[in-house]
Amino acid sequence: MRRLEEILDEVSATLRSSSDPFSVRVLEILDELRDLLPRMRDEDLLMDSEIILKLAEVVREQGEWLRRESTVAALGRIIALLKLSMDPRSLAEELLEAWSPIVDLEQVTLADVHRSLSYLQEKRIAPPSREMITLRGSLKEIIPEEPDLEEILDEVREIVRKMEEPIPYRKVVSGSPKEVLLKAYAIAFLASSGEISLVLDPVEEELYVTKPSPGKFFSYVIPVRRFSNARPI
Amino acid sequence: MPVPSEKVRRAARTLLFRSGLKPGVKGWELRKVVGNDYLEVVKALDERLTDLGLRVVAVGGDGDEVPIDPEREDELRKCTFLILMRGPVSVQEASTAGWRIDDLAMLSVALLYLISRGGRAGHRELLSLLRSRFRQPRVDYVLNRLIKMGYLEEEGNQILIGWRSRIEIDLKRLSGLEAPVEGG
Repeated sequence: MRRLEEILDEVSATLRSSSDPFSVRVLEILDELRDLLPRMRDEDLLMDSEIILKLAEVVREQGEWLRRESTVAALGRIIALLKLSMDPRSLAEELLEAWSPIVDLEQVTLADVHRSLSYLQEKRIAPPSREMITLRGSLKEIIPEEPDLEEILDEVREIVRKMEEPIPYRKVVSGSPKEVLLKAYAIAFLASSGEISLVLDPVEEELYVTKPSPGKFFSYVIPVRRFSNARPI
Repeated sequence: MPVPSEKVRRAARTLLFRSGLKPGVKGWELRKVVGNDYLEVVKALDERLTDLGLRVVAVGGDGDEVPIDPEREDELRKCTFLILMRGPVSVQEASTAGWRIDDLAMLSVALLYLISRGGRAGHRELLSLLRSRFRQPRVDYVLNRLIKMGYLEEEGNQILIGWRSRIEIDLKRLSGLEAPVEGG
């Protein structure tokens, strides 16, 4: 049968050209032989048995290959463990002997620009947000007479400039109910624009005003009555 | 037929300039930029780079090198093509590139330990090994840097050998299973 000759040629050629016994497609060939079996004549059976013999040889080689490779892998693990006791310089030299670094030219990519923008937003080195401006409008509704916000902001800025250690929020946000409201707004504004930082002590449940410190920016609602001694307006 | 210099130049630029987060370009991208004969062009580029102590490699998804052979074109299209330094790096070259001996030793210890553990180990376990061998203040910083650079990878609370180590470092040679080859 022509197909049997082709299979035998394929198995022999693969075994000759490759040292990897797994390159022979043993299972597919066995399936094909099973399908061909009903149509085989007596003279084909000799070739069929020759193919089976070659496949058995391949399977034996696969077993040996697995045994050999697992021994090598185990040996590698043991040597690696022994090498760990070397001194740092020798360890570095061992690495350099096995190292071929990638060579490439770095340039500014869109991803870098995006990362930079995210960083700037986290640091809040940006003009006051739309929400802050809206808040300023809401403040006017609560306090009809025109409050001098710049004066309040400067007052809080001065407190922060002079402080040597974190000051409790309740000490800064104090005074008459209107003053409390304005100072709370000033603190929120200065924290959002990165001029000050706020630190919450979860144990004492005390909020502190500190000088600006690095870290991630995130939104936080400050319940004024909880963190200050404010009376209702 | 000789490969046109223009194509070799184009291939070199495509391979050298990083366009994504990771270096290197896929075979199909290279084919798009250089043309259908990109494998011939890559071979010509590799010959020219030999004098500069560099070489072009193609690596599969597992970090294993795939021979640049036109008969394996289907496989090579999915591979990443990169330019690597040819041969080992000297201590002076490494320090010029910003590596401290301690940092290299830490990477060496991390990789050897991971090899000894079959490729992965617990984050804490590795950290405590490094802390026992090196000055503590730098250990956390260097470990994070190695993860960021891709030499190590984090998977949950496990540390694995990273993609960059699988490409750049001959792990068999590091673990002592292969003798150094002249010229790399």
